[in-house]
Amino acid sequence: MSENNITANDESTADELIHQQEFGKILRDAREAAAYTVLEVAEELKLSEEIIRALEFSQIDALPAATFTQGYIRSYARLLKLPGDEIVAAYNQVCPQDEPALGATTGVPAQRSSRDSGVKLITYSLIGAGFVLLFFWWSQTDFEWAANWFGKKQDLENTTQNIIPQQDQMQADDIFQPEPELLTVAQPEISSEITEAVEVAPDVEVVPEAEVQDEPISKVEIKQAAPEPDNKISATAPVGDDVLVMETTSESWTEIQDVNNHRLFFQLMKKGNSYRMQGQAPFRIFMGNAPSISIQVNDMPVDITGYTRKNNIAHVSIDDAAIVKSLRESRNIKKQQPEVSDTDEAEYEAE
Amino acid sequence: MFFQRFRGMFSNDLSIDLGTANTLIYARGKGIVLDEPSVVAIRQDRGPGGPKAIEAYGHEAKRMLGRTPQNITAIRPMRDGVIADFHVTEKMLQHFIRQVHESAMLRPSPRVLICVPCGATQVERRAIRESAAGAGARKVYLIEEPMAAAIGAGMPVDEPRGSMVLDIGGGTSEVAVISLNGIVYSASVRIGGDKFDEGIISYVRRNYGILIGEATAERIKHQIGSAYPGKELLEIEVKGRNLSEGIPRSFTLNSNEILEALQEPLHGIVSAVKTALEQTPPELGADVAERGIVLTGGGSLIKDLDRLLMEETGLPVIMAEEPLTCVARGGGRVLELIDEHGGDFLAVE
Repeated sequence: MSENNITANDESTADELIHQQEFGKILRDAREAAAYTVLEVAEELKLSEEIIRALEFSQIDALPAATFTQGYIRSYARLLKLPGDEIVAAYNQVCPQDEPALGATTGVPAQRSSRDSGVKLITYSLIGAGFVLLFFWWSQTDFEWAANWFGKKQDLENTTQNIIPQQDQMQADDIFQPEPELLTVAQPEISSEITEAVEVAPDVEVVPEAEVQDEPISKVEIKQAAPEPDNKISATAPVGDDVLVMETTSESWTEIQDVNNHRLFFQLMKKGNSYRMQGQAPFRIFMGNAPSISIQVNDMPVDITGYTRKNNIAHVSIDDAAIVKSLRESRNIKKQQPEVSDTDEAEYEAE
Repeated sequence: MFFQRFRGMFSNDLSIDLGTANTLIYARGKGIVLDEPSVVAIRQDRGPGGPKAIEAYGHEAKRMLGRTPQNITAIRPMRDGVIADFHVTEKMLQHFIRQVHESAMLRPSPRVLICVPCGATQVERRAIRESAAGAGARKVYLIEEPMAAAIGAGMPVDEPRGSMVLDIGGGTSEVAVISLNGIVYSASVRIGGDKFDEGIISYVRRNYGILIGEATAERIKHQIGSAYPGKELLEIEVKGRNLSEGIPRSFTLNSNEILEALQEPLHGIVSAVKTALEQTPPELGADVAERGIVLTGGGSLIKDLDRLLMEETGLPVIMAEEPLTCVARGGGRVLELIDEHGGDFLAVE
């Protein structure tokens, strides 16, 4: 009974003392209250008297590593029926938990994790670089082959719009052959008629007339006939007589090729200049900034607004068909179109 | 190889205490992230030879132990600290590793450090290594349990002084003397928490003619088990099947009876410690005598076990803080040290 009272009192004082961080004093007071001698405690705990004294006087330097000391304190507290954990906590406050005995924790290279800032940075920069490359590639291709491809398609669509009615009337079997050869053949015909009507480009007529004469034999021959005049032209006259005039209101990268794929112009057009080029129509023109350019072929203005894409790029094949179109629009001769094609057909059939 | 390292970035280094009774996982930088019993419940439908599927792991499976219908078997794939059922262990490890990587998008591929009993044979070590690799580990390190326990308990293992550690696990008890980051002497006895349970079961059957299950025996051990006669007498009421009547009966056990029941396994542990002290070189033995023996492992939670060892050996015996997690925590420290020092501590296969 007396022992219980003592421990009860000790517990109340222990709480106060724990705040004073005097774990040794708690143990010593409790031991004296329980009438134990140091020797008896040492016997009981199988420890040396020095260690018991070091514990009671909180001589941390004289005590072994924290693990052992914590164990001693627990055993001692249990012997005296004190709250061991609280005294150990008081000891921990006094004795810094130095774990360097196990090897330094500082500077330990941590395992690389996806959450590390370095890894994150590398990942994001790689993704960013990927996007930049993708954008670069996209913009490059947009200027080169993609533009060409779409431009060609537009050319074909535009030219076939003009030509298909004539082909319909020619032969049903051969209509659906949107090959460039057929088109090149067909174009001069129109031009010949237009030139007759307008009397602007007499030079183009020379060759088409020869073709038209060859045509009636068969359609195949028409196809074959097409390159022949080209060859003649390229052989005899590498430079044509068609005159292309381009006026700029702002800078634009421009590339111009004539019918033989000779590059007439390939550079940046300066602002406010007028460029005059001579070559064989049709001209294939690529413009980086189409709205700022006005084009005249053989002194006739050409409307290229329909060819201009959203990013101001235009890929136009300015041949006589385009001129026809612009002329039609300017002079409102749309009604004559069926007649023209009729006469065309009549010509074909006659021949 | 590269992809594994990439996946490794999304995984934590793990230290696994693959114990007979409990599996603990310590994730580097996070602490103990998993503490589950090493129990797996397997469902086998359509009779023997039918397809097998895992029904439950860990706590859930442990509740099924001894209470399963015919198509489910709850098993403990580890016995005596080593693998008894390779495939089930692999599945269990795989499940636990995934469980601690819940948020990961990729299949985790961590570096894993696993503790093995120092008495494990080469074949048993290889089995543990293989099963961890099969569970998805990118690299498997093995460490001897007492080494990990000593480090986890915070003992100064790198000093040129002898430290003795006694780790009482579920299946084995390991005693080792460690100095300068190495094991000077180690011994492993196949006595642990399981043997305590068995001792209680056989005691009750012998003296009361009543059969109790493992779970009941474990509950008795936790509540009134003690290793040294104390002043106060604790009692517990348990129910078991009377062998002669075949009917469940209720009866009362007290702590002294359990002390008697535990005598045999306790004696085994005490003699292992005594043998270790005999075999320890005298200088290290003096160090141990001065500072004492450190107790770790779940088995050391039996009341007054330190008292028993103190009386038997005459040396100071102290309990480590949080003895259940010492091994896993120690393994975690070793994982950190591997990067710094290389594998001084690691066990060789």
